[in-house]
Amino acid sequence: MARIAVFTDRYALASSFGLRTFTKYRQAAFELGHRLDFLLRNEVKYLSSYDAVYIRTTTDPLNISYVVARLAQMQGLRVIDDPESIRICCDKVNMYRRLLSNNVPIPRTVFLEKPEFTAQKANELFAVLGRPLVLKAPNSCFSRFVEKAATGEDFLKVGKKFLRRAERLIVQQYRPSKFDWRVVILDGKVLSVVKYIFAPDGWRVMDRAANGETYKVVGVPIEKADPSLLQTALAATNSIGKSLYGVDLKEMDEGYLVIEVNDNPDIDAGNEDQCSPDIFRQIIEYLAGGVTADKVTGGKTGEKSGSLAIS
Amino acid sequence: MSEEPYLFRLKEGTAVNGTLYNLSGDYTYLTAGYYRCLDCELAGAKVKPTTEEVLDAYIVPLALHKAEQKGLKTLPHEIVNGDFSPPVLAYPLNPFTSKWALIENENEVKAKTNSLTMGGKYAMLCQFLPHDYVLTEFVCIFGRTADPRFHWLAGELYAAFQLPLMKVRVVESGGEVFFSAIEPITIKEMVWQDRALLEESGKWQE
Repeated sequence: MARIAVFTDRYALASSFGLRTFTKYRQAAFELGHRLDFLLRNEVKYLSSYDAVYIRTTTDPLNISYVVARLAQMQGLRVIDDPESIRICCDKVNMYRRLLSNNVPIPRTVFLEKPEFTAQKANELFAVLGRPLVLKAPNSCFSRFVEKAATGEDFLKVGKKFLRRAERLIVQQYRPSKFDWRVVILDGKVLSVVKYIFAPDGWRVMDRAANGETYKVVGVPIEKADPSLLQTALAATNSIGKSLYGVDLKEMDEGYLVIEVNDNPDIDAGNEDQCSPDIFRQIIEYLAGGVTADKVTGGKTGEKSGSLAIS
Repeated sequence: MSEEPYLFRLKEGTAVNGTLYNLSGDYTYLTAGYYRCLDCELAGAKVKPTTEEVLDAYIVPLALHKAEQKGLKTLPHEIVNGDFSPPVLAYPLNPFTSKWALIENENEVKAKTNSLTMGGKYAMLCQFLPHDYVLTEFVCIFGRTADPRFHWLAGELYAAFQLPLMKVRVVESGGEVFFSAIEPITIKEMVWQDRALLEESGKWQE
């Protein structure tokens, strides 16, 4: 039996949405014959009691999620997200540079350092990349710290705000679409494909329409997804590592463009599992690794967890 | 990019061939010093410190774990939500601040905890202080220090953390020295004795 800790926070546990999702993980662990506990931040001292840890709270190298990931790694636990993936994906400069060096298609991208952030540079970029431009802080997440700038004034205002917490920022060509593809990948294997359809007049997942409408999630069976979409997403994650990722892509005339590779992707009951009901089980199986199960419902004791049949 | 030099090579025979040493001194995540390490890594160059080593050193719970693994003494410590008994050294795990605090008595607990954790949103680590504690800081340059009391410790810390430049905080109590934390130190902030140690160590990369 593998002992798996889900490191989370009281906010996630308090929401009915979060609780519904955690229940799915717990059921999957139980059915596979493993133990799954929730671990809160004042319980990190118990980390060494587990075989694996699954981080389900906002990741950032400067908050406790990274401490948990790195301590788990140092103690030899299996961990999602692994510290390197957090370091890469939470710093979009690092992430995009790895994608570029592996020839993964992304929107035209420029990295700027603080001293280069001038009105003259804004005009040069507008001339080359068009208007508006998309500015991203390296540590943006959930579309926060991602904004458009159509004028030099906007460019400087947004950039000044983003450069408060980082020495560099990312400027990208704006590629409008009504939705993003999201491909969830674990250890080089596609677990789920969905479309995030933006709210009317929105261009980011976080945008709300005037009537309060938010984005919608529409599942697509993996076998029905365009192989080129999956290949592009896999090429993106292969540039980063072997952990759990959510790859956002836009479907353009010239092919698929990778918008981001996210560590710690949302996997919510009713959303990412719409056409991938096994996703919770697959993640638990990965976390359990080769640890054999003590007690299994609908399977045999003593087999590798990944080979157990669930009725 | 700043025109100031930052890459350094150690004297012949004192380092692994071809390793570059980033002497920005402040390697804080997403700062210029951090990105210089990352640039070298992405270019395939051998650089010290690596981005992983930087975070291991500056994030206090990780630094304590690493120090303990190397046999260095640390004080009892715990990541807390807010329930603890002073005196403690409190270090936030908060992306918006790296400011630490000495919390000496119960009257200070609420205000200082709220400040470090932004009202409980972020966690913090407490190191529990003995009654006779003395806080001391020294600068460590390639494992050497101008403070003769800590010559032995400077070498061990460099072996453990691999940061060419670091400001080290320790707690002295009962004749023992307990490692507490590592913080940035830039060349501009160093006194002349520290700079002299640095100049003896190698040469700037052209």
